[in-house]
Amino acid sequence: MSNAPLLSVRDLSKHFTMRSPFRGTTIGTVQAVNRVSFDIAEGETLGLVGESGCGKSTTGRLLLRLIEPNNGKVLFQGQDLLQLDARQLKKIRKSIQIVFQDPFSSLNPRMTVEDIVTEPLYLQGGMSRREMRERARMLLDKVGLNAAHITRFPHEFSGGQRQRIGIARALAADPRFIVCDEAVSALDVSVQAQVINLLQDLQEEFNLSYLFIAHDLSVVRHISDRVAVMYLGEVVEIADKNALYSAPRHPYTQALLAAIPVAHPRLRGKRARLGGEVSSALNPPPGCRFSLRCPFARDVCRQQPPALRQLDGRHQVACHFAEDLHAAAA
Amino acid sequence: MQTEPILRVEGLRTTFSGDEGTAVAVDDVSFDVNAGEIVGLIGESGSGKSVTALAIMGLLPKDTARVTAERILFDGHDLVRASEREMRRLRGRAIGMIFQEPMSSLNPVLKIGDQLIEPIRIHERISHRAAFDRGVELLSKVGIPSPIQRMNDYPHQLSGGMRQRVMIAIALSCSPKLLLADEPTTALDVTIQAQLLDLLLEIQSETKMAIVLITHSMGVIAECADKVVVMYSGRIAEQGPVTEIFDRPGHPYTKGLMQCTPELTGNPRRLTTIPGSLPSLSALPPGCRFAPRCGLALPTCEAGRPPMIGLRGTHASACIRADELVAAAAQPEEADA
Amino acid sequence: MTSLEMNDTRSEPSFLRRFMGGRRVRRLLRHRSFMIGLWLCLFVTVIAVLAPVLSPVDPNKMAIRSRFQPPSLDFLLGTDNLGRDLFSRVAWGARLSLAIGLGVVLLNAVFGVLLGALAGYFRRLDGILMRLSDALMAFPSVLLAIGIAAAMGASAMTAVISLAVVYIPRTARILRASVMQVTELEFVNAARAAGAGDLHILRRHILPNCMAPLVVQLSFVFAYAILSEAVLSFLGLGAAPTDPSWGIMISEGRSYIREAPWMTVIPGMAIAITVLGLNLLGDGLRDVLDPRVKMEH
Repeated sequence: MSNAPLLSVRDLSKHFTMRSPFRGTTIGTVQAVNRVSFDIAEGETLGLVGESGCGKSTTGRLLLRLIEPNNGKVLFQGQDLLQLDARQLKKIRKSIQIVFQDPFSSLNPRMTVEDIVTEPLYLQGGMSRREMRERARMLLDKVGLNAAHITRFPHEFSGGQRQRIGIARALAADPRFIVCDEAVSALDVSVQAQVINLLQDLQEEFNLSYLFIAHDLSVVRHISDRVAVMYLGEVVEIADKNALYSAPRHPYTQALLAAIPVAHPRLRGKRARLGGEVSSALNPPPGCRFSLRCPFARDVCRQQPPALRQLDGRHQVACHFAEDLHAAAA
Repeated sequence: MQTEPILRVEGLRTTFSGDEGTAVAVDDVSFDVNAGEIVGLIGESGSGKSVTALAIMGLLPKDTARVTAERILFDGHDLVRASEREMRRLRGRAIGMIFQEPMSSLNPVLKIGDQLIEPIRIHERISHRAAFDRGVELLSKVGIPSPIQRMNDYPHQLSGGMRQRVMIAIALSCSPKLLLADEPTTALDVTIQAQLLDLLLEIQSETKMAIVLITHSMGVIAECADKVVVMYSGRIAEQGPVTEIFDRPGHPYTKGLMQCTPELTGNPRRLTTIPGSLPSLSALPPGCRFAPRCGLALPTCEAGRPPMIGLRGTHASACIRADELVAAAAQPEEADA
Repeated sequence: MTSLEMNDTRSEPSFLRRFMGGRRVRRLLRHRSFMIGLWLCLFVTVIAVLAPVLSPVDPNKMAIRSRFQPPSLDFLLGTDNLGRDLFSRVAWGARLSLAIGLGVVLLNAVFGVLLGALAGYFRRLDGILMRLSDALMAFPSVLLAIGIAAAMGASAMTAVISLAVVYIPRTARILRASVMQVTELEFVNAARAAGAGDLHILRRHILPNCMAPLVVQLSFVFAYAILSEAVLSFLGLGAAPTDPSWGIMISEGRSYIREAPWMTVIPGMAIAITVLGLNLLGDGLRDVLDPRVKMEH
């Protein structure tokens, strides 16, 4: 891991305006992603977790400009992606790729595997049809599929195999960075483990960096170097994975971890459960967004939004009382 | 709990016929559910776990599905031979069911209250007023705040977790003896899943009803079940008490499932995997269906279907090497202690 | 992994499989009403194509001496008030009807796809295009066709254009709906992430996945076009009076419906058979290709 990060995200924001369907007047703003900042080093995996609607997927798509952000910076190798024009963007797209969640809708059912996998190469240009086919065979082999199957259509493959095709497509143009957007969430457990191993092997071989978006905390722990936790559009905690899982500092992270089912029936027992539900991202509360559910919330939490601040080492947390909570736990 | 089981499934077989021919989705499945017991039915997609539940309820489409069984005994009724009228009387009253999708299992144009009151009034001759009060009571029991207001809400006004609570309330409305819960928490976030599992456990310990909990998650099983039935490709791979299964899995598939779920302790570089993928229902292997993916498979495994081998107590496994597996699992366990 | 992959026995994808997937073709071949529709349509097409060979005489040749002949061995389907052979006229009429139907279908395919794709993909254009189509669809379809045809003067070309104008908004709407649906699918994002532009995405990813509802819709447009063309011609707004058009034949037969009912019944049956065949065909296609979408009228 070198010092300058491969990717640096600063204050990335996306707000959607909700309009009344009849009068067209603005009802409010959904702050889907609000001032999100993080770094990813070369060869590193940053896990991004949170519950549905927390904006983790949107964040991934903002990085790739599949959705246009309202604000912020995405520095990739020093270049701000949000400032690029269409031509420059097209060129840089080969370095930044994405693997999607749904192994069914993410592959065009009318295209052969060869056409799917070589599309990024075709779009970038500069390769003959034969070279592209050779590369497609090589990629299929890399992701553990039979290279002879390049003339087949997606529906002839199982979910896990289709996800491998999606990975091969992401690898086609030799990227440096891949957003894995719930890339293993739709797979059966036995197949999920295969794909996780594959992603790790590929990372090692090609020195890839991942943003690994998922809701399954144990999968994220396994694959990530560092983990960021999002709640209602904001990052509430980022830390090295061991620090985050063994000593979570934000009450939301603590609640998330406490909610994971036990690994063995003998470990059952009453644990502190987080009450309430994720509130709406439409017109969030003025203070800390978690204050509505937080068992430790005080007045200052409801009025003043806590900033993401550095604790010891590389542990960052957005909570007014992180130190107190930590002391209380210890 | 040495009572007569509340549900006894014997030799359940379900076939589907369509354009592409017939497929056996559930093949000779037998298990018991005792009163007051939570039985976890675990399996991956295509294992036949949901079809099993629907077959028990008699809810599979009659034109494409064929259900046969030696018997499905529920509380003195043989459900395979029961008439549709008999089944309708049992469903919702003696057997409740909740589904995975909290979005589509409630009718979007009816108020929560009406959907709650309807099953009560179908099965019991009580006034609307009394049924309404019962509904409010049920909603507060499943942890829904301000239940009287919620009775007048429509499903879209509630979150996924709240809707699932409503589904549980509906299923509980006639105090069933058996609840079939088909992946009730799969579509929900972890914190909500934890709340709902707590709720199910609480209700269960209060009412002593039996629950068949269908899931694909070993964690949910570890959290709730008393007994586990592991299904693979339409057949039972292994069944037994939950601690037995976790301590001494008697089937390589169960063992594989547990190993390939990442844990929250330790830092292994790689996950142990089960190679290959689930066989398709139209091209099932002739012998043990897990044999092509199994690291322990012997030539005999591919020849014929392995019998259920009894292990300690009620623990049984459909693997000819079950004894070896259990013995191997027992050793490090004892070394630990 | 490799040991468990599907058996490697299948060959390179054939054209048919590439087009719609072999499973669907097999299902279509087993779909009873589709097959009946297919045979009816083939039957009409063969007659239309072979009309010059099949028809015993020139369809416009008058023979005053053999006026009002009922169907017989000499005149298979009888003759009309001018002694013209009805079999020849119906066969040539099939040519005209199918040609007009085909013209309408082609115009629908081109403009319906163009407008539907623009409206469905570029949401900014959607408002304008859909309001325009709403305006056109607010008129009863036959009345609109009559209006346009009356304004342009009667001819086969007029019939094609006016019917195309009537049905294009409907086709465009169906295409727009499926374009909107497909645009939401993840592979569109995948293509965008790979650097694809709008044109490439539309051509390569979206339109090929909208073909099923389009084909279904076009088969119905074909049927309606033939029916409406008959109406226009019946009213004197379609084909030229000298052309052997089914609509004109019915219109001429109307005056003699008591003396020579076959003059009306025979072209009527020709229309019924063709439209029935196309509708059965369309129903079958819809069942197999596109079970969700129902026709908007």
